[in-house]
Amino acid sequence: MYNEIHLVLPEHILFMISLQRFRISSIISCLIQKGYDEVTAHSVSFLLALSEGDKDLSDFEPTEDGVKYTQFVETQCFNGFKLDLPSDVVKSLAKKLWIKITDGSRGEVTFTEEELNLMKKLGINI
Amino acid sequence: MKRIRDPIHGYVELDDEILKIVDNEFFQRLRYIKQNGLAYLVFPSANHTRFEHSLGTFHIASMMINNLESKDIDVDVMKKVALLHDIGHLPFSHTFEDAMKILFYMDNSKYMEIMSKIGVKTPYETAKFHEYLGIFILKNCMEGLEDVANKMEEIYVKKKGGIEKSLISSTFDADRLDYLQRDSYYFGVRYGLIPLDRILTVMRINSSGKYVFDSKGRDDLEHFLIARYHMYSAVYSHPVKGLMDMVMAFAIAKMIKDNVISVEDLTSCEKIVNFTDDFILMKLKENQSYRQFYETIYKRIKYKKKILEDQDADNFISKYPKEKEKELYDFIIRSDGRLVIYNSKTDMPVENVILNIQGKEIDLDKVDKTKYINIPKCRIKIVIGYKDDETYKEFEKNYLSNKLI
Repeated sequence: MYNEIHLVLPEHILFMISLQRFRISSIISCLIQKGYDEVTAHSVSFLLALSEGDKDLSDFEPTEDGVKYTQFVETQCFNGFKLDLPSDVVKSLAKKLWIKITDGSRGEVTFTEEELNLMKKLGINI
Repeated sequence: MKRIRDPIHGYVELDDEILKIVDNEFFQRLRYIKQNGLAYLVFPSANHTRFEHSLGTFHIASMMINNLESKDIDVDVMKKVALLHDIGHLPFSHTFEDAMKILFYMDNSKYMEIMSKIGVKTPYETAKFHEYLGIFILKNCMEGLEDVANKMEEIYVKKKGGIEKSLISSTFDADRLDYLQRDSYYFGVRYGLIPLDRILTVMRINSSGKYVFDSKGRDDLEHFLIARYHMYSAVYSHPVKGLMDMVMAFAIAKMIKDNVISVEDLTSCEKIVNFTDDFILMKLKENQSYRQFYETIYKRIKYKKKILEDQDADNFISKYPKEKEKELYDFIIRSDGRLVIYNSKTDMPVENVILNIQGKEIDLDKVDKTKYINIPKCRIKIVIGYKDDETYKEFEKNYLSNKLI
């Protein structure tokens, strides 16, 4: 038979496969706690995923005015979130980047000065 | 017109055009791809395949389309999308996608070569592997289905919303309405039993693609969501099933790295048509290098396991830093599959739903859903499987604290 032992949480953390889901959910939880609306919080998580070099974006999808993380699960906010980001710019930038990524060569979008600054601030280079 | 018997829906009716697609060898291939990977090692009767699920999804989508208030969609194309939505599944279904995740770290250049050959040109992936491969197969291996491939690209890659997405890729889509019932039946459990006729009566899809339930349908809405929740919690996320799938995923990734499975096997039309569960099982049997995986699956020489659940699991993974991910994969790869990790999250996603209460429409995407429907707590489970204590001790030393009970 299988040998079952239950663990308590470890001090320093590692794990594999689908961890992106929990990392991104934690970011969204932090942002919602900080007072951002849901669309902005989800859109920020999309921008941060790009900024951190995530290639797997299959759990994101566009909404009317931003990008949503479809696998969000309410979780704890561990690391806090220090950035202060303008909601409108975040949402429009996320939506434009989604179009640019998914429409290939047809995905030509024009970024505003504010959006370009935000991309630079987050280190997004697409 | 052909009528095919089905244990879930009674008869599935196929017209000549649909029958021609069903008889195509690429669709027939789905007869040899198990719906739920290695679930049959835990639930012995779970031997059903992507083939009958695809027919069932087509059947339900056809009924949903008939019920649409606005038929501002290409009906023929959408029925074919439903029929062909899983055409890109490779051996053991989603287990193969887990293998691709491992391959990403195990042999990145081979991973990139595969993605490039199936037409994923950007460095970003916005769809699942089987969805990309499905589009590739429709465009390159089957004739006359370019419009279906383009529609699948819109729905799965670009994720454009609306009625079409609601039919095949959202909360109450035809895919879920079929697999919950079908899996319940073949797994021998009752969690996923739902009254399909009732749901299709109390639910309508509006012109924006939202599922609208009147007050009288609120219990049916909850019943469906809870059925799905328990199927995930008790069946799909079963720890032994999860570990078996992870062992197979590791073995598949290793076989691709070692060229036992060639890149062409999963990227050339001539090869894909024969790339089925049997192909992998035969390779496992034939090749001594994969003996430990063969023995696990065929002789049930088991992995020991340790489990994290609920708050412990939440604490564990929420803190996980991205930078460490590669390091952990490297450890798993170095262990040569002697340690694998499976994780699952069971929650109740409710998207695209409007409740119509006494004439007032409440869009659940825009309010606190818990005020209107009962939503159970998310369950998270992490299972660490290992062959020998030495490997586990190394894992524990490097990646877990000493706070074990």
